[in-house]
Amino acid sequence: MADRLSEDLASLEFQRGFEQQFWQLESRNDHLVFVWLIAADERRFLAVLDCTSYGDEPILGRFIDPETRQCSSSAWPVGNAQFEQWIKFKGTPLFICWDQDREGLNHHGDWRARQSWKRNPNQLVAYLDFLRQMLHLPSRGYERRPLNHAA
Amino acid sequence: MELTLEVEGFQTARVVQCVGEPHESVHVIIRRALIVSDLADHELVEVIEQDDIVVAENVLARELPHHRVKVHLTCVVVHFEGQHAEHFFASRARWSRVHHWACDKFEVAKDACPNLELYEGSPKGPALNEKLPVGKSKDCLAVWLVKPGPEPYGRSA
Repeated sequence: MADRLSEDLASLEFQRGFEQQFWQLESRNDHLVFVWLIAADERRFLAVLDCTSYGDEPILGRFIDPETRQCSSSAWPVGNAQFEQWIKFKGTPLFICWDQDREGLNHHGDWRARQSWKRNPNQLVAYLDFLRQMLHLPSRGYERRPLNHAA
Repeated sequence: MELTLEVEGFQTARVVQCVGEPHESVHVIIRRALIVSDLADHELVEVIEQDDIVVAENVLARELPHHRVKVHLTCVVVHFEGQHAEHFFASRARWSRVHHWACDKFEVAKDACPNLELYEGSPKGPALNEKLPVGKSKDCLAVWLVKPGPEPYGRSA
């Protein structure tokens, strides 16, 4: 059976996001996909997307430090209270509270029945596009900072 | 003195005769001609001379060897809530300029405008990065100005 994740990584939709400078594939290690997300203030965040059972199960997304590869709070984008509704950049665990994220579903059992991650033909691009909106749409509440702002 | 301006970006190139003083900047003369002809959004127009040499902003009309220049405009048709409008933009204008133009055109509230996005080709098409230039195209580019849908979230971790 063809690797659906490989197909989606090679898709026009994924390539389009790269061409538009919204994201960039850093590497892939089997079911783990490492992608740079470029925010509206041109800051870059490295996300690791655990695509275990891709297609049947939601992706587990986290932001990691590009040097240590650890999921530390300093690696996460921050924002206002609205932003924090989705991007849990404080506390433990750090996770993405969305009905197409596996950890999000762990915190909201009622979401699983929706099977939202199956409604888009390209599950990976749908996930990346969600993160893109979080980092670009003003109404989502991402805190934009100049690039030379100390973390 | 007279300059011949060839405007590319239409099905057939249009020629506009521009009148100006020898001591005027070529760019000033061209932009005035574009405004008068109501051809396009004239900001950021790049003026090209023969052999695709870009004419710098400070070049005066009398310094132009051939008196014939060209500009490239890109046709964009913006769709918004059942309406649509067409306009020409400088090919190096950013998509943000198209966004702002469309908000003005369709009288979108100022606080609502930033939370709309431009999608390419259809209301569910790929999003356009508004920091990037419109670019050149022989065909009119169709884009949709859309308010992204709400995304579900949990109220407690």
